[in-house]
Amino acid sequence: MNVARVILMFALTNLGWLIFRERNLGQLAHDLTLSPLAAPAMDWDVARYIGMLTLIYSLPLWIHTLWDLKLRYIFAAREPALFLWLTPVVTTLLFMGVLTLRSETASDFIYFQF
Amino acid sequence: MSFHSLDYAVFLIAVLGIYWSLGARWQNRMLIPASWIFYGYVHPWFLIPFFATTLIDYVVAIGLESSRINRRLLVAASVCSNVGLLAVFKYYDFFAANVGEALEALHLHVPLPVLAVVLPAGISFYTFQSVGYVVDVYRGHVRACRSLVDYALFVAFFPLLVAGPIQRAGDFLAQIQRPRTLEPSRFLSALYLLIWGVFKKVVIADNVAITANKIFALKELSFPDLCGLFGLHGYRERFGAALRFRVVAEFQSSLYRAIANGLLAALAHFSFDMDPRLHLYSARGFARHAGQDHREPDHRLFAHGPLAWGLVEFRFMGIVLCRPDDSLPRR
Repeated sequence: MNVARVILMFALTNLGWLIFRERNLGQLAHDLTLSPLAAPAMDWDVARYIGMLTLIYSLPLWIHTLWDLKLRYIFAAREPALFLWLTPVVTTLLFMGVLTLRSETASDFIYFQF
Repeated sequence: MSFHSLDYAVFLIAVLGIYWSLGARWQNRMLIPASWIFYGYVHPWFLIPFFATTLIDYVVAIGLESSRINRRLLVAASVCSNVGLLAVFKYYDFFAANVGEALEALHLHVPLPVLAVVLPAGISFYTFQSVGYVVDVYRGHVRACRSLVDYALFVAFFPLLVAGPIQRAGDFLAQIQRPRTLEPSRFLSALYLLIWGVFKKVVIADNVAITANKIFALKELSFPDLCGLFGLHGYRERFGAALRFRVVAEFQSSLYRAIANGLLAALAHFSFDMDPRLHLYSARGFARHAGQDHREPDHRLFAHGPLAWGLVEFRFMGIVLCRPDDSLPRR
């Protein structure tokens, strides 16, 4: 049931993004008539390629989610003294990451369009 | 004001400093002008529809608690004014363009005027938050807020103003009306969330955007176009040459090829897009290690030192794991 909900939510999110990104109704209607089953092999290559890019770029988010949902509770139970120091240490590391790894090209927040 | 700008960092530090130095009574009063400065920083006219929404819903909510006025009419007036503002700023140009196209298709040339104005940032968030408050008052879930200061802050609170999430009046107005004290542990948690948010934006999202925008800019997506876009043509030969190997065949499976190239491109570009100070190895050093004299080294790849080594190792792993297929044409 949970898996079905995730898949449904993923499909709805994709639909939402299509509606959000397309600039006219004709193109949107065209997008919605496309079937992945009818896509040529080259398009599947493109899809896998972009999928891999997405996977790699989103790795920090996966790690953070795993930490936030599960690992930090385990760590807090096993090493309570160390856990107290963890938040300031991670915050400092993230701040250093912001200073050194930031993109030189800043995009606007997407929600400015909402 | 954008959350990831230096202006915002200065603004936030100043607001936090002043906020915690004030007594509970003045904290709310101080946050209102601060939020207005935040919202009107780039386009002061954004404040005009914002003030209109705040004042209309403040008056309507008080009116709803008066039995002499038609309550449904008041709610309808509030919803129409709010949604009307939203529709005009956000959707008018879209509908005008589409109606224009539809009329053109019917060979009717009716020029429709367009607004062509910048959409007020976060207009949906504060509009729906304000409408939600009016509806809650109408349903009797909350009492109408008599203090204009408290209500103005409920709508204007800058951390939520342009990005949400939309708050229910029953919860958030009650917090505004209660005195607040500084708790170090919660402050630290908030700081962690703040920095993590900035990290996600400026390190992850902005780096992804460079790649994503290149892909979106392509009219037709195709694998060769993507390879060309990221300069992948000939990468494998360069890797081989750099390590004095000649890579003789393509991978058999397009899946392996796609994954390998995807990883390669992603890593190469992720490192390429990072700060130049991270480039620990020079191109010349890398080329010398490979025993070659590259007068014009490929800075896109070779300038990345350790990351480039990682890519080479990955590439070898790919070659070892995937069976070569001689039937595929060589480049």
